[in-house]
Amino acid sequence: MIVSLNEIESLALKSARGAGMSWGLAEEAAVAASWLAARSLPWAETLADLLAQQPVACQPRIEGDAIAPSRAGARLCPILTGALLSDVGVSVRPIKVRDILAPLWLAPFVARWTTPGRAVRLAWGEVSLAIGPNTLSNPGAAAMEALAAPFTSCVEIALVPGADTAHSLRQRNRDGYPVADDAWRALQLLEHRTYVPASAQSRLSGAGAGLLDND
Amino acid sequence: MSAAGSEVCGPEAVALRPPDVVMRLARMGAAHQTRLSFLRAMLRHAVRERWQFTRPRFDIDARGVGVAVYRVGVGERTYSLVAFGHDLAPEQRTDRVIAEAWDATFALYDGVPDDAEIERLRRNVPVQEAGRYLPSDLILARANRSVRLFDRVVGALSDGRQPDAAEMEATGYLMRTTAVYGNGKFGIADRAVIAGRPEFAGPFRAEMLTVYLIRAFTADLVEHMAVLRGGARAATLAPPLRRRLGIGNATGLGMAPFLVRHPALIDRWMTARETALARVRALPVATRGQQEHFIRALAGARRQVAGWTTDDPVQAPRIAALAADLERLRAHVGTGAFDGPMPWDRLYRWAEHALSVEGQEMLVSLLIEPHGALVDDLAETMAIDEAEVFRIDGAMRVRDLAAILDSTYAWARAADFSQPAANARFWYVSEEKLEPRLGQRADEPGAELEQPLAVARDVESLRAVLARAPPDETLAAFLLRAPEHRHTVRRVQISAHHPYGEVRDNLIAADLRAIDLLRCKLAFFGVTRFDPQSDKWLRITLFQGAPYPHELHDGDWDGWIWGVADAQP
Repeated sequence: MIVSLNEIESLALKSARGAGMSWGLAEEAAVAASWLAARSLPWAETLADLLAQQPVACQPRIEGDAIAPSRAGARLCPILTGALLSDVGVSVRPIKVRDILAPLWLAPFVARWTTPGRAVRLAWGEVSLAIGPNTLSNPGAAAMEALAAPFTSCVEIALVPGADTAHSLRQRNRDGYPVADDAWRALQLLEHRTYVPASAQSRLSGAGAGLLDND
Repeated sequence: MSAAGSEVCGPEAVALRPPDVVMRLARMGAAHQTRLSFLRAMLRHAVRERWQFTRPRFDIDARGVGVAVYRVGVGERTYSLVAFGHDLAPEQRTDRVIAEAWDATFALYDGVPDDAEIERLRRNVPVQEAGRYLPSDLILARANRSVRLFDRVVGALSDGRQPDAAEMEATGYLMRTTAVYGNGKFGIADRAVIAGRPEFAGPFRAEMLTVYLIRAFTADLVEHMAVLRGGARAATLAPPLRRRLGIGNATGLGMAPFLVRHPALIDRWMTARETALARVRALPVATRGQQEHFIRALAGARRQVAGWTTDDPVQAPRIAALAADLERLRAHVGTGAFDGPMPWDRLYRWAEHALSVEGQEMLVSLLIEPHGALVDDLAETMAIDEAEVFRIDGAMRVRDLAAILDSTYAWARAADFSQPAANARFWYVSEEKLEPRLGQRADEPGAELEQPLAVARDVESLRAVLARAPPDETLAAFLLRAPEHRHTVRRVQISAHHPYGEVRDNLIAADLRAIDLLRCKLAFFGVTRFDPQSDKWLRITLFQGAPYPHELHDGDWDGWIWGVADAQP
């Protein structure tokens, strides 16, 4: 189906909340989802997979120039870890992030480090993404599967000069944003957990208005 | 502006009213429209840029069923309101947003729709939320007839008579919108699609244009149906009477969370209005022309208040007090209030003691009114890119965040959340209707699914946790330990730079009147005649007295909302 960015933000917010994230982290997921969708990156499948795994159970720990799970054998949540990277702010030294789910989801967070003269390169597996404030290097069709990787053992993050971004971003807001029906429905199931079922009293008092209106 | 001397006496000369005064629900719930309100700013823009309005299609039958198209030329761009008329059974006519059928449904279309596009809209727009839309569809809306008045107006006109003016004034509109959707709902265009266009750069301008065109449709519709019924005998509405028809709206809780969810945006709105007030109060003298303008607007306000009725037991006495306030103001103005230095400032300070809160806020509107040249630029400062304020500064230390809480959130200490009355309500989204609702914590299930609108309680909870945290700890480290406070930390950091961003009252108190939130937002839209139907929803009127599209470029309509435009034919 074709959806709007507003619908994407709203669904990401509520599905992340429905999956157990705090409101503040769910807000981060929403803004990150919108960032990915605006760049035609596979946000919905990766988010649905991620949220199915109770990802915020393990905290990230900063160890020198690396961020790793605080428990051996655990995996990092990219939204929790991305929020940490965003909070801490730009790192001039390269950083390694170890054992992380859905590494693509770090991109929207380190994108907040960028300025017109400063881009960020994210690399894992076969993927190398250069992110500027309004630009994104073309990941190439072959890399799409790697972009959507559910897990990687190491992501490298480094600042690069701002000009290193070939593919200028043109938001596709005139056409809407295509999304896979399966992933959308999976997220809707999580979203549904945030709604309160009606009761006899809520039907009477919850909203106020209720009369027919023929005057 | 030179006569006003404003260039020698800047806005710094009088301080803005503090947030502890402005952002209280009791005052927000007494807000009135001003010349910065969105629908007035939209009409001024339309006049200035000479928007061209046409009605290329009006295929509606005697039951009101069919299609009409209204076209607006805005520079090189064109927008089209596509209106569908329906035959609605009386038992289906409800004000609630959750209805499934309406008398008329509308889409504001980006460009000129061809037949295929109108056909696509015809398959979707009449079912509203149940349809799917494209980014070419900017706004979605629907409306129901105000049945009694609608039928009487059609009846009179088809007999060749003008309808009864008092009856028209009492209702004030032929149709009432029950929802106006923008910003990406159901697949329509995201706000980002139009935010860069000058005509829609201000908040809710596309929504206001849509409602303005719907109002024109309702007046055209009754005249058209009168002709179909009465033939050559039928009359058209006399222009002054026609202009007294606004467009109604019924608004409920769905709108309330908006003010809480967009603190940086609300700060822009409030800052614009308060800056306008401060600029006026800083003027050293009142020119003769400004005095006369003020007195004309005051007379208009008194007429407006005289025609403002409600059965609401809280609002009705407030309206009566406001009428008395305006009489007091008139008498005061007649006894030399404009003599001496800084007369507008003295008038405001007089009102702080002499008038009710309703009266004070009406005076704010009246003070701003004669000073378009001084304040109208502020209408273009009321939007913000919220992405700019989203990032949390995690390098900030716990001690510094605690200091912001002390300076900006002292008000939140007023409620004692160990008491049931302070923690009585919870905001939630209903599974049945997917709309915001307000529940009673003690009696209703679902409080664990509460929406993050209990700002005061969450702030007090954060304050307590911060008091136990190491003062030197960074917020990045603190939030790793305490992610449940993340949304509150973000708000607090935003509020440090957006002083009017926060409603400074407890939004889950037992005595909360949610319509106070609605009224404030609606006043910024530019509506009049707030008519509460309970503490959770109200009816209002938009564009009453406004020129119609075909009149817009004839004469000076600046004061239309007070009924004091200079060139009414």
